[in-house]
Amino acid sequence: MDDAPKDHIARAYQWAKEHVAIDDVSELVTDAGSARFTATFRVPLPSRFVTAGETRKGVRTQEPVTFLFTALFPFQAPLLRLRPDFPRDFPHINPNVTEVSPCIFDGNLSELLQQPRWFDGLLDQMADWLAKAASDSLMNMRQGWEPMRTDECHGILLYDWESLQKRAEEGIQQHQRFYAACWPPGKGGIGLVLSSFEGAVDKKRILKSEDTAGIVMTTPPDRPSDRYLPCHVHDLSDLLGLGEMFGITALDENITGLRRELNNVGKRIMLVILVIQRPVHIIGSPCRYECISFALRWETKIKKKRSKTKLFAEVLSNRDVCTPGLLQRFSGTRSYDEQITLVGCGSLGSKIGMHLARGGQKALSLVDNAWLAPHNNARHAIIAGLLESKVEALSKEFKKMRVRVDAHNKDARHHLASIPPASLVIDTTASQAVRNSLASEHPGKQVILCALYANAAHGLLCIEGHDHNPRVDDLVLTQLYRAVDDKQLNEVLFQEDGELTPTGQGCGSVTVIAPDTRISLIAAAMAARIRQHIEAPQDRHGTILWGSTFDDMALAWTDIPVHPSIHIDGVLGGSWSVRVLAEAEAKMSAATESDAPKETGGVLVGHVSYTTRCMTVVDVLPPPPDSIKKRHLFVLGTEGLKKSIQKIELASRGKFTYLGTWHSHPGGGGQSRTDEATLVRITFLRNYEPTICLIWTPLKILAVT
Amino acid sequence: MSTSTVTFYPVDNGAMALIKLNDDAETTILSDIYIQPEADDPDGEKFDVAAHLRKQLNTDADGKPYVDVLLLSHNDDDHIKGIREHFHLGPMDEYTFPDDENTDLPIVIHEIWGSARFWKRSSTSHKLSEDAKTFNKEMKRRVKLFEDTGLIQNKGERALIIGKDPEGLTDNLSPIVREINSTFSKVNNRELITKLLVRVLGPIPQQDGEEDENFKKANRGSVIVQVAVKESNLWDSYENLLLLTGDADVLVWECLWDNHNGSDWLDYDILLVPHHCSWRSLSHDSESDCDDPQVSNDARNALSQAKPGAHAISSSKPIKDDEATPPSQLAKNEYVAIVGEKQFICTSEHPNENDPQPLVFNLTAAGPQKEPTKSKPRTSKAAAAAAGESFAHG
Repeated sequence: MDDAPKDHIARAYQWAKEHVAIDDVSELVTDAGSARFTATFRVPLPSRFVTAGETRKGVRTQEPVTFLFTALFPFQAPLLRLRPDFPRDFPHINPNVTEVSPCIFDGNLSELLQQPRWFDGLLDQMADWLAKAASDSLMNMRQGWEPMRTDECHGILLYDWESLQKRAEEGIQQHQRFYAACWPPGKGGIGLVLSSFEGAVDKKRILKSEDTAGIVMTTPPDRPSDRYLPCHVHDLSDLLGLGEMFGITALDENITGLRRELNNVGKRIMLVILVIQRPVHIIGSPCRYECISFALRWETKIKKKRSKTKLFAEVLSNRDVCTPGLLQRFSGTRSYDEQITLVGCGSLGSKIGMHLARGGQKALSLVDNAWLAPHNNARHAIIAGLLESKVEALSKEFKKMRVRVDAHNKDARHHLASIPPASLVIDTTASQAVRNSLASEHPGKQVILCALYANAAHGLLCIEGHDHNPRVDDLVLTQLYRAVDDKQLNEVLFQEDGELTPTGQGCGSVTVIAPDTRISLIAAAMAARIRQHIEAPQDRHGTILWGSTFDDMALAWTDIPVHPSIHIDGVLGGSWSVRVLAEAEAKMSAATESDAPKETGGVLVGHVSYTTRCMTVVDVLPPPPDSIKKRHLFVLGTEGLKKSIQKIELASRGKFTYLGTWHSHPGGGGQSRTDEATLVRITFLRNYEPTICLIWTPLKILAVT
Repeated sequence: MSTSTVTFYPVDNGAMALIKLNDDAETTILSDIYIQPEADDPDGEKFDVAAHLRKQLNTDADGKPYVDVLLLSHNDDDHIKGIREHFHLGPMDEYTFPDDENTDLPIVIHEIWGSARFWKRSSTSHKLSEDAKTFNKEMKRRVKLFEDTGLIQNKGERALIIGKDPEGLTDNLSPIVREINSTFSKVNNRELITKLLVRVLGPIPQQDGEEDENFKKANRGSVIVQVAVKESNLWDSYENLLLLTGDADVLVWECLWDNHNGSDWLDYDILLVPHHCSWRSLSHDSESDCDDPQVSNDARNALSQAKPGAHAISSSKPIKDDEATPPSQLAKNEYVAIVGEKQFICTSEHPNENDPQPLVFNLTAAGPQKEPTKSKPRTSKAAAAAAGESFAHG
């Protein structure tokens, strides 16, 4: 051994000698690659056992503990060994057939050694562990029931253990058979529980594969077993004894029956799962049911025309298969059973989808008609394979997590009608066409829009309000209109040349230059916000979140609540609709109140969509100074109006313009002949482009027809 | 918190112990206070009991630290010192948060348990310290609140009087009086019958033939209680019995033996030996004046009801065989004879005289178990040693 570890071990040895809980330390024995000493700890016994000097389970007032060091010390903690006859029926003992090795720290012991207390920390933990063993309080019921220790583990059984525990918790008494795959069959292998079945074993299925079958047996209801014992099972008799201790009836008959059926088709192995009710929840689980699994193997030898069968029971270690439930537990998220439709599986969509799946989302429907290309590897969540569509590649990954996936390799616009009502749709396509399609959909679906701007330096997240109102197009238009008076925002949202108004960038596009880290930064935040929305839906209003990155590291979001819009159908001859955004309506109300009982009014500013046949009023301009306001008359002036409109059109690249006029009827009442004539006149002047005149009344907003 | 605990603080010849229950509310009962200025001094040698205490306490919704109960045995300085410095006294609406966030917040006492002697004024025979006067004033305030309304007050305003006042001052206060030889399990207005039972043993009334002068002594009026803390797990259950004795003298113990001989009211797993291990709790003979002082059999019997494996705790200075008593070596010998050498612990000697630390017992389902002594951080010790001395540099 080198000098350095020797020096460290010598110091540890000295510290043990000086420790307040240690009575005696043996000589330090050092050889080539290791060193050891034995420290005798003074164990405080509870008063009941002081006179006897030993607890009921056999912990004594003095307990020797051997510390075994390797040359890696102090980067590797020493192994700890208790006396060989130390009672083993305690939790927090590491699995080991021959040695008694206490598990004294809830974590890596080598990490504990790196703390400021160094070797004293380890000695303190050891002293504490022994004191807890003496008071039989190693099992901390508030922390939960420690699962049975398996000193000899012969293989692994994969299953959705959490579901099994939950079913038991719900009072479903499970005495059922199941098929299981084994690789390789027999000792040291891995098993996977496939599906449960009733009745006899399907011989054809079993014969054709390496599959076998097994049984699940559960303790009777309200018979919790409060005995902590390590699991020492070697043969059928041990297994039946364990079942009897837990109060499981008919275990023998069930095993015998299934074994006979399997034996008849040449199988020599079956699986047994015992589901045991404990007095408190299992550590790390909300359930009180502990599952213990075994492989039962048998060999038959024929001697002198008489057959003799030997049975071996082998304890298996339980491993979870990946399920959304498991992922929820580890993510600390809550269950959401409804399917989410992810429209757009590009870089942004794939990352958001992956975050949701990792957070335990149970069902996803994927819609995208694109194929993975080499350049997608720069930013997509999946590494591109050959000739693989984005939805197929993504769904393969999701299926590994047992997420229910529908993959639709087609244009989103062809699929929207198939999306179930009342479901959540996440649009990451950055396509105005898709967004307009979604906006036109019948109320019911709730749309969340995710888009990136300016090479992913900014992100926009829009969450529709309750019952599709405010709609996704209302939210996007609100955000765009904010850019009219905000220079910085304007540069981002209206930066591109020409008349097109950008609606976000599809980051699979070769024109977008942004590192994966930047897109991941925004995608993670968007997924987190979507998760929050799923777990605790907001009030009736919709939400706009505008995010800006800084140095590709920091990210700040502006959160803007948007109240429901007013929807008016049947304008312009019946085929058009008008949407008045809440902010515009609020301005109309305020102006009416201010000028009442006189009428007032102004110019409607907004957006015309010929695709959706919708005129969206985003703002109202105040009446020009030369306007006339009387009790039953409002005449809209013209002073400065043209300039104001031009400024808006210029700033928004024509996205927002003059839509028509509004005026108030503070006392109520419908449209007048004057109103009708005005509409005709304005429509004529606007060369019959879509034009509206609205009347604000105390009850509702009317469109002049 | 897996089990309830009791912590005895190293406070020289004083008394201070904290019972912390493992019920949902983590109820705390502080038995006596003795926080010396030296213990508050960052450069002082004495253990910083106040800092340790504060770490054990929960805070209310506003962030105010609190104890559920202060149980005061009697108002001598070695049982009450530090109350003005560290605790909030007065109406709760007068609680003030210090401007300086480095200043400790005053600890709120939700409920006080004390004898009826808080009505007694300072006199030449029993001169009250400022802390004692403040405590008495607070008790009077709380009792007056009950008198005025007839209602159990809110947290921070409650008081229970242990034992009736011989002059009848408690006659109309029965809802807040716990009589001698009675039991109760309501703590801070919460019923804890499955966790805790308090048996009230003292202060016992004036005895026939007992001189007024003796009866009026502060020690004579000590509150004595047996506190049973119940603990159970899936395999065991146990009543951890703590006998808290104040500074009661030999006459009191003789009477208690007379009253409770044959019952389990004097049984204990942990005995806080009376009067800092004073010989005069066991004997009528003066240790210094008498060549062969004799133990009172009845007093010794009263203090001998140790359950198997019981501990006796002397809340005192280190015990030396010299004339400076208490603590008395003779008295220690008697307790050692009762519980055994290893089971007798002096708070100033735990784990050693040079560096005494709080003595903690876990109250388990198999009886009290001394918490293993942990090492002190060596680097902190080194830092403290170096920081306490000035060094010249050339």
